[in-house]
Amino acid sequence: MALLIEVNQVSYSYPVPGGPPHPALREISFQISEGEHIAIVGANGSGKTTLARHLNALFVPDSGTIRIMGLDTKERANHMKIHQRVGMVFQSPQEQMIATSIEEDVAFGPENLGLSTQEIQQRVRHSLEQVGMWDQRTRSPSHLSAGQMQRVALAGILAMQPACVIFDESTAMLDPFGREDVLRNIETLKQSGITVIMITHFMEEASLADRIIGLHQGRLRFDGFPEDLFTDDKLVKSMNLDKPRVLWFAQQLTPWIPTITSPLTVDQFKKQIEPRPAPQLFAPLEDHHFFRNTQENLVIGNHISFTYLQNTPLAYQALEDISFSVREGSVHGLIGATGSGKSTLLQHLNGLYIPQTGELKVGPFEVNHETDLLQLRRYTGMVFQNPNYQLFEQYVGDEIAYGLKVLGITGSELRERVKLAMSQVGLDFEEFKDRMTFALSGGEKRKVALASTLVLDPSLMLLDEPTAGLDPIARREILGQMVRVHNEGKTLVVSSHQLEDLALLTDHVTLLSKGKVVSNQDTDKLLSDHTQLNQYQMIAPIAAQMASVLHEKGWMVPENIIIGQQLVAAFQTLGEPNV
Amino acid sequence: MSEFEFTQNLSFGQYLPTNSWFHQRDPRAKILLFFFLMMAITFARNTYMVFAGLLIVLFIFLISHIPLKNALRGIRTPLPFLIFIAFFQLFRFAPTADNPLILSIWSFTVTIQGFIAAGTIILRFVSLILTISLASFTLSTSDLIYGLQSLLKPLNWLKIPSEDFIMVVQITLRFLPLLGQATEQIAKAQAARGAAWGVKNQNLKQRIQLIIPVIVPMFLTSLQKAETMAIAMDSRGYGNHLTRGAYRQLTFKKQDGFLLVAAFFISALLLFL
Repeated sequence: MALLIEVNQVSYSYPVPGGPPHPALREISFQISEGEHIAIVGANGSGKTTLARHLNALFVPDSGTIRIMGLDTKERANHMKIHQRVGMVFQSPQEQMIATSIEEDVAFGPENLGLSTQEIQQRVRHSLEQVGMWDQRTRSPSHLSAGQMQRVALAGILAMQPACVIFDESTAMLDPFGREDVLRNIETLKQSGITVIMITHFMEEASLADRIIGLHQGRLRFDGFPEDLFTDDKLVKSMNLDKPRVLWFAQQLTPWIPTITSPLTVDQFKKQIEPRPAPQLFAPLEDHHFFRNTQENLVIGNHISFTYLQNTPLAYQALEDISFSVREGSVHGLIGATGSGKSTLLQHLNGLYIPQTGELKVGPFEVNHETDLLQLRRYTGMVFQNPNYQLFEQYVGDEIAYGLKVLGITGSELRERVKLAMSQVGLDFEEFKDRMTFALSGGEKRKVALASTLVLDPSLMLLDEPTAGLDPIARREILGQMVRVHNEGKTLVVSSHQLEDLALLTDHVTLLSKGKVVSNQDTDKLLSDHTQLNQYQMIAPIAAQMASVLHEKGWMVPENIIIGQQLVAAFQTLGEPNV
Repeated sequence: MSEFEFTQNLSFGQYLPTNSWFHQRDPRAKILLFFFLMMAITFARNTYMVFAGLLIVLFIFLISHIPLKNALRGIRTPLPFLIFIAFFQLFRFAPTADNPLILSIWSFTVTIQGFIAAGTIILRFVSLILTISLASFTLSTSDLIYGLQSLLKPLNWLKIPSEDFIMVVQITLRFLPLLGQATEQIAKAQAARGAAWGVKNQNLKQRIQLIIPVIVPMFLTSLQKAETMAIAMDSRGYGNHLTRGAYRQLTFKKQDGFLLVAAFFISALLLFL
């Protein structure tokens, strides 16, 4: 196959004002051939995005060379040709939309190529049809869901007829169906011979690639098949990565099902299991592991409705007749596709929005226009979805102290409480208090956001997508902190696209769809109900998917399994395998 | 209405596609028509002509099937301000033989001419506001951009890069909702941690004190967003010096010409009668 990209001894550093430059890439070399499907993996801050931006000449290396189809990226004259042939879909869907309507946004690239109007129109139509957005072409990008925006972004690149498309964490902000959608599109691209380079924190996604390039602190640490990376436990750990969960769980089942040989995806897992001649029965699961909550309801919502931009032509109903309750001391999950109203509902619980109809009771407060909002918000802490938009002070210490300062707390008490909150989330006070907030990594920003809410010691914590966009290690840490906060006696309401996280954390889950409550159940019942989840554009946690595969093959594991440990524990009840 | 919906009062992008005859006209004709009309209403000397201008604007509302109540909302906000200005007009003239006195308080005199001047200024502003909202109801942002692009093309002969100017307009229009969102998110983050957003019984000073801490982070996040957008534009090949192509080609029909000529003559009449 023809060579598409040659990377030769590339190094690159970011300038740091008043300090030595920060090296982001160090002496990296590899080659990519036409038609390959490559995943680039690495922890937050390992240089993935910097590398990707070198591959379409957005950045030019400090030393070493990059040739794309033989064209050196150092030559400015080559850039036009490179931008046309290597396209990029970015992480944040909004900021890559340039025009004010979908069709014109897709036309942006071809217009830059200076093509004829007729040719541009044909290409726009063709590429929008390819991603299934042609019928919505006159809408404004700001009215689309994140998943739809990523489709439009892809169409904008396809319209330039590229040889290679780079996806820079394009799935990080999407709901499970949005993610599947991107993966399906990647499959189509591969079949039409386009090279795909995908940066991802989801090891399951990386496993779909033909080849993985692994970065660690700016160096190339791995270049080879996914199986070779993920079966090397030491290497995975040293790169601060995680194995795909399927592999993790499956390896622990091998003693009982010897035919399993390191599957990376549920499909591979399915293929490796022989159907049993006679079904193997299992004892039902023991009762759920955490049930410390009392029967008292802390939050009660009755028939809540809310419409954005009420009484304008742009009115949009976000919540419709919502009724639900959260028990004191529990961890309650909210799930649903993008736009189902999860965030809007959460923001009602601390009075950022007031229900337009219906009643909402949060702890001792009735939430309506008469409520003392300052007291309510002190009672209910909120950690928002994207930490980039909720940190507003320059230094970490000030950021965390903000809420206390508003209350008029100063001096040594302020210092002690900030220190305590930082230790609760695992940030060292002396090391972090004078760091700049915008220069922190994604995981550190989340911790600061969490600490700045914890410092106010709220009784109820609201968390909106607490793990989106984090690498596996940072994610595990944040989950650990949430468990700790819960153990200290706080009630948590968590909304997430990551059903894996909710399976670990929550005891109750509310499923929303289009602003309505669809289901309100115990976590294990709801998250193992594949039919219902699929109907509302959700996908069951991997352990639940594996359990249902095992069921098909005659291993009658309990049906309400949602986490890997339960799966392994179920097999352990069978006793030692007969070798 | 919620405290945090900053984009609500933005009249941009309030395009109402009713698909009327007027909507279907060439954007260039519409842009020029609104330009003529605004000139005429602004500079007409005769009160009757300003009133005629208002009637013409209302007539266009009618033929483009846009409910008038949408436009009236735009007038409500500046109305107290208009009345304030008009109030001073009342005292503008000294009474003379052909300008009889109506009322005098101390040394202030209200005359017939003063009354007419006050009425005219309200009429003029209301007509202008209605014209601007009519423009936003009948011109989509893409109409506006492609229309301006085509109208400003002659500037290229003078070596003025009109296309860059148009790109600035386009990005600005795209960026306004992003700014609104950034503001909303920061205000919410501060409210959630104790800032008194949405709390009742605040005086003006307290309200202003709330806004100031939002502004700096808003600009910072906007700059970050702008940077990402610039990289996205770069990666899609913007900024090379080839001539850009155009997705839409505007066609100027006979009806558009008719509309334009009519608009020109009517505006001239309003101005010079």
